[in-house]
Amino acid sequence: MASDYRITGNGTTVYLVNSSGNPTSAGAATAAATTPWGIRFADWTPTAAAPNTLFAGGFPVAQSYDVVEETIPLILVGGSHDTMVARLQQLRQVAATWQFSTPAILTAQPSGATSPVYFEIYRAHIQERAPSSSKTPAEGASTCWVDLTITRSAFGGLLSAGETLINAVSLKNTGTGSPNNFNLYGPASGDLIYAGSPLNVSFTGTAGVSAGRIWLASVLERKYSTTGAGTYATSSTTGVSATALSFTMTNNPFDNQGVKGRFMLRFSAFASNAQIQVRVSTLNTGTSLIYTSPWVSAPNTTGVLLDTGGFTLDAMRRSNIAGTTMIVDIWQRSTNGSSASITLTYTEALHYYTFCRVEQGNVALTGSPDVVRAIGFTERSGYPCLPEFPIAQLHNSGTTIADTLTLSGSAPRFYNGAGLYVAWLSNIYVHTTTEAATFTVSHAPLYRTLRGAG
Amino acid sequence: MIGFPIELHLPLTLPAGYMIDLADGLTSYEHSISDQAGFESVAISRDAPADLALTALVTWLGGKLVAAGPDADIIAEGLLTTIEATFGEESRSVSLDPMANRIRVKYTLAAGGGSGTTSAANDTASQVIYGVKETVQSFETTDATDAANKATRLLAELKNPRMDRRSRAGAGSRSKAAPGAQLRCTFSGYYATLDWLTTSSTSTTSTDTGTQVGSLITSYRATNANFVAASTIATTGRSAPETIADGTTYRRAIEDRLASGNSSGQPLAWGVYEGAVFLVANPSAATTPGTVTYRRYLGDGRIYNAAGCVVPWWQVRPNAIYEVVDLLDPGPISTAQDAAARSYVARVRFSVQRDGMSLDLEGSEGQSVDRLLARIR
Repeated sequence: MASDYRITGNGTTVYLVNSSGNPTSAGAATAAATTPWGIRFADWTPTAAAPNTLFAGGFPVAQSYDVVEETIPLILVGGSHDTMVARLQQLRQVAATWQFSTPAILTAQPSGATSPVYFEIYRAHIQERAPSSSKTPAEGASTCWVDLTITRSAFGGLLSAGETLINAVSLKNTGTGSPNNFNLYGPASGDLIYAGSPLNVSFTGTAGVSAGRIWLASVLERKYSTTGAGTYATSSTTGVSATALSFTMTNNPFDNQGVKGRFMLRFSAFASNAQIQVRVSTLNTGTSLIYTSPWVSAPNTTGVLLDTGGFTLDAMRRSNIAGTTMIVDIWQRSTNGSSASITLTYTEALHYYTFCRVEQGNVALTGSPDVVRAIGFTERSGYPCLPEFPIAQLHNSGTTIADTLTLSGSAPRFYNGAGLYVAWLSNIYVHTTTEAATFTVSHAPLYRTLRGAG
Repeated sequence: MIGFPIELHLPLTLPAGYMIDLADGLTSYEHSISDQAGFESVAISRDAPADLALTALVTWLGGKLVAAGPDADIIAEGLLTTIEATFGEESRSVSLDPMANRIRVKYTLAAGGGSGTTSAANDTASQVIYGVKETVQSFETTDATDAANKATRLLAELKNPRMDRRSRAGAGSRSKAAPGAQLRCTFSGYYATLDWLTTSSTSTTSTDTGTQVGSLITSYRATNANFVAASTIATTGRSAPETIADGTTYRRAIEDRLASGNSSGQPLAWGVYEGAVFLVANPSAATTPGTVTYRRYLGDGRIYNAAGCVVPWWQVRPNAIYEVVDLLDPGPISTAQDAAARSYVARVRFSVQRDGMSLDLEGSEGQSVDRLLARIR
């Protein structure tokens, strides 16, 4: 099988490689068997997107990717000068469609590769020139060399739909039992499975579910505990310790250095004048704190789940001893000096890669078939699955955009060995542990150059 | 991330009620947070289609931003006060800064030398969109009728945001057409809106300054409820007369009180933070310079907390003690907020562009003794 490289724009495909291995003189470019185009492979292989890594004194702190510019060396056997120019014009038309319909698509499948990969083309510059020791196009040549210079997406992806990692799984809004609020992602492929590749997450509430705030996280490990559950009250405005509990995580932060820590606290009652704070340590309660959260109020006085913020685990990573224990000291205070009571029911410890919060806007989710979608990549028939700026939307009946939601934090991304953590509050911010919702997660495998069988 | 180093989300809720995320197409983001204002300012630049930029100029002013970092943490909040849009060689800027939709005029009578203040001239249409923004102007040698007329005239001039236009045609470039626009949005922290209204009090009763600040915020919210949230301010233990001169802004009145510190004479830190809540730290971190909040090693640009965990730059806050570990102080004065290795952080500036990030920590050295005395008075 010959290699297959082609460009598709506005419904027309120009084949850059003839399936016979040699360009067909004066042939139609829209079929692999007859195309007059060929790639001068001796000069070219796809260019990989270079990571733009930001360093701080030798240590990386952030990374992004930019588009790729590269030149594909082609040969065009026109048969006649007019046909050659017509094929050139056809390629110029097909490769420059982003201002008209959608970006043109570059399909790349080398000979022997099981699967193709698809890139988007954002800019195309096509320059013909004379082959070595031959007449130039300007002199009426019918065969020419063409430099196709394109600016394309940083990555290539699958076409139409990503990999399904979680397929219509029902999860419950609690950290215990089966099902609960955590589900491992299925196996995934691509170049970025250790760097975080984009996911699409859909949340379909069952009848009666009205999610006003949804937390979605890619979590390596989640621990649940009812230790310390009970009622605590104080009138102190400076704060007192309510209870402390210890979590022994299987994950060692040294082995997974991209992981951060976080606690989610569930209360069945929370006075309006109460606030809580978590103080996290690794050895003795209240000493050598690795994290002190802000004071957190509750949006509701009954049935609330509170996020106390994320923190890095560098101190545990560097100690290399007792590195898996996190002791969380839960403090409480009164905002006005009157007695403030809270009733803790459970605590969850997360070791996570990404964490985000989706807030409803003007339209409340009313239950099935309304769907909340956190969208990290394009997933549409006939188009490459490539990362987009992450957004969240509410879709009525799964088809109509009812509202644009506020997404804060990092949208869920795939990391090898991680899973989806979810939790939600109602449209009046009540946390109900008996509620369930159905989740589907699809993944966009990304490739810097070629895909092979991946 | 594609094109930008970190995943920021910048949801802007517009006066019309709908939301747009400014982070899509972002080219730069910066914010400053200070120990005497809280969230102080945000500025973002982004690419935008021309039609979106035109819409922004007309409808975005007064929008409310909640900037969220990669861990869903709020890193800044603010009110959109200035929008600049550049279309090739044409630029447009519209701002709330010169706007005033409530105007009073103080005047000195031409006859007899007496003085007075007009009642407020209001533009309720503007107030509904942007909130109440007041200005007090002074005129000499006039009378009450003329002063009222001047207030009305000023209102007509100032009630709407003002547009600044710059057009330039220059030779040297072969391309004059721009396919899109560049937008720059500047936000003020909600603390700055305390300058939008004035207050006064003739009471000479001596009251705890914390209690007074709580009352001032409640009073401010009675007119502008949407900027600063209801806030519980603890007592400071220091009392002062309730007297406030006519025409004093709420911000000045609050700062006059908090600058007195607490009952031990220690400084306070304050500002408007997450959820637009006014917070007072009593005392400020400057009073315990031995308690280090942030550490850094020369040659390592990262910031660590006292336990050695990295604190992302966008989460660094003022009212903190910052220490450079490699610069070992031979023997700092235990009560001195600044020494060779450690110093008090009064303001934090964070910025991120497509190809870099930076964090600036400013000390309180910019606050001269004269200025401090002027504030304590």
